[in-house]
Amino acid sequence: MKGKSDNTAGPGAEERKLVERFLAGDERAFDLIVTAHQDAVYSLCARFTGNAEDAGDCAQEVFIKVYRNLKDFRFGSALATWIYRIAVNTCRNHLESSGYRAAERTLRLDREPFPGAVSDNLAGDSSFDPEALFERKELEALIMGAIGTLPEVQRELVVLRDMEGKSYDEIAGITGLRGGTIKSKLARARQKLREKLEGRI
Amino acid sequence: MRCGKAHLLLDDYLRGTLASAERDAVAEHLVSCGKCSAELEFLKRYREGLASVPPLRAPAGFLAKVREGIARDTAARPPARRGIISRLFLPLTIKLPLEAAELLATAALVFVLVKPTLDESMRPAPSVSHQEQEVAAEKAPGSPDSREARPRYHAFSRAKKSAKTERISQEKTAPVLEIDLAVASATRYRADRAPGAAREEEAPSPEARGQVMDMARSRAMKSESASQPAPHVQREEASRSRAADEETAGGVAPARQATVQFTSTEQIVKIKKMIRPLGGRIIGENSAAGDRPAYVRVELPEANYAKFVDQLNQVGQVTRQPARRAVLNRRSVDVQVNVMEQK
Repeated sequence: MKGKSDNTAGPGAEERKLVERFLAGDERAFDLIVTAHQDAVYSLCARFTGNAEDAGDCAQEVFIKVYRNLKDFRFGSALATWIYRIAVNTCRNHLESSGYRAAERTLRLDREPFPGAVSDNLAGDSSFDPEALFERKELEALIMGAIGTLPEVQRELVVLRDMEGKSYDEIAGITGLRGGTIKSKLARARQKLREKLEGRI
Repeated sequence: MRCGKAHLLLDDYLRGTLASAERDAVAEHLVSCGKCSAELEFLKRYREGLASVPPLRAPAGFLAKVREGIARDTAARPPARRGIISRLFLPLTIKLPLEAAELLATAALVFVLVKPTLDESMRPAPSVSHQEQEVAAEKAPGSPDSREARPRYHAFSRAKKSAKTERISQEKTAPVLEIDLAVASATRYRADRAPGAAREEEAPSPEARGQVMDMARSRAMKSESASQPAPHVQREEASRSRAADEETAGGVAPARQATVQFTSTEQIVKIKKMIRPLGGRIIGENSAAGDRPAYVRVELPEANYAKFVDQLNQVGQVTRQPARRAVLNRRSVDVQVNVMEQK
């Protein structure tokens, strides 16, 4: 497996200690693991599902699975990569579920397209400019809307690479795809995005 | 560089993560390729647009929500049925000393339970061992053959040898005994049917006789098919059968058999003529072959035997010799009579 963690020092060693403490019965160690990865997992789920409610449910489900299966984790990869893999699979299952599809048909217009509104993040900014904020929200909505129309695999790769900033090795560890496949699929995805966004951004 | 490859490398070119050679090659391609240059421009705007999308954070209280979910999930799950191996040996770090103690206790228990069984299997067969032990116990203590002085394996070896001999002996005699039983049953039935049977009160009913006969036949057949006794045993058996017949038919008359050697055809013709009036019969006949003379075997009532020998004297010169087959002497006096050509 690519992206093996360094088990002797650094974050890898810290993660190993946390996992060992959890397996020895220390529940607080699991809390620390959740705290360390909750934002990344929630962000990924939000990019995949496209709304705050589903993102919260998926992220919660991800950590429940982590809690149940941590005893089987053998440090073949970084703990973060393993958790991301669970998150991607959980989101896929969620998006393929009949409940999500029914909700998608009826509630899409009522839901906030992307959680974590820009206004929330800029609330404390002293150079707050309402017009600039509006333009950024519009650009964000355009791009995220175009990403949302991509096929599932391409969308996953765009989210992981372009939005979450993962390396090709990490993406390979999460998705199980080869590096060359990842690059070619990403190129095709960007070509589609260009066709949708050309002249609008 | 072609457009296809440049297309794959544009994102990395923009990020500045390409090796210098590839970066130079892409830059050179972009100068001459308007399509790839336009693609690069789009990627710049696209990245700027994504940069405006802020990183998302999990909502407040997310950890508590996760904990609630875990508690709910645990309550909804049936208690996990751990396998026997898992229950006994996991987790190793906690239960290892306990497991070691259990293993030792189990090994000790097995040793205590199995050792008597092993000792038992090392002893000789009970019937033999008792004899051996009794004999050994009767010996004076301290003598070379006493139980204390004799090595245990020596006693075991002797007992084993004795048991083996006894077993072989039983294997040899058992089929013959079986046959004897069958013959006895058949003989009794035949005796009952004989005219003037002495013990009519012991004669079984026809059904019972039939059963006895069937049993005798089946036993005989079974023993024959199972054991296939050697030729000498078969001969002995035939002899016993005849003897038993004679004994049980003894109510009629004791019979005597004789082997009569002769040297000419005329003699045998005469012998055959004289045996019938005496109440006898020819039970075997053999012509001359090589050095062996021709002979005839006759059977006749004991009372007429002397008369038969007298008449033989008229046929030829009679000399008596002891029977060569001792087995024939069990019931009747078997005499070999040589009838020589009269000189």
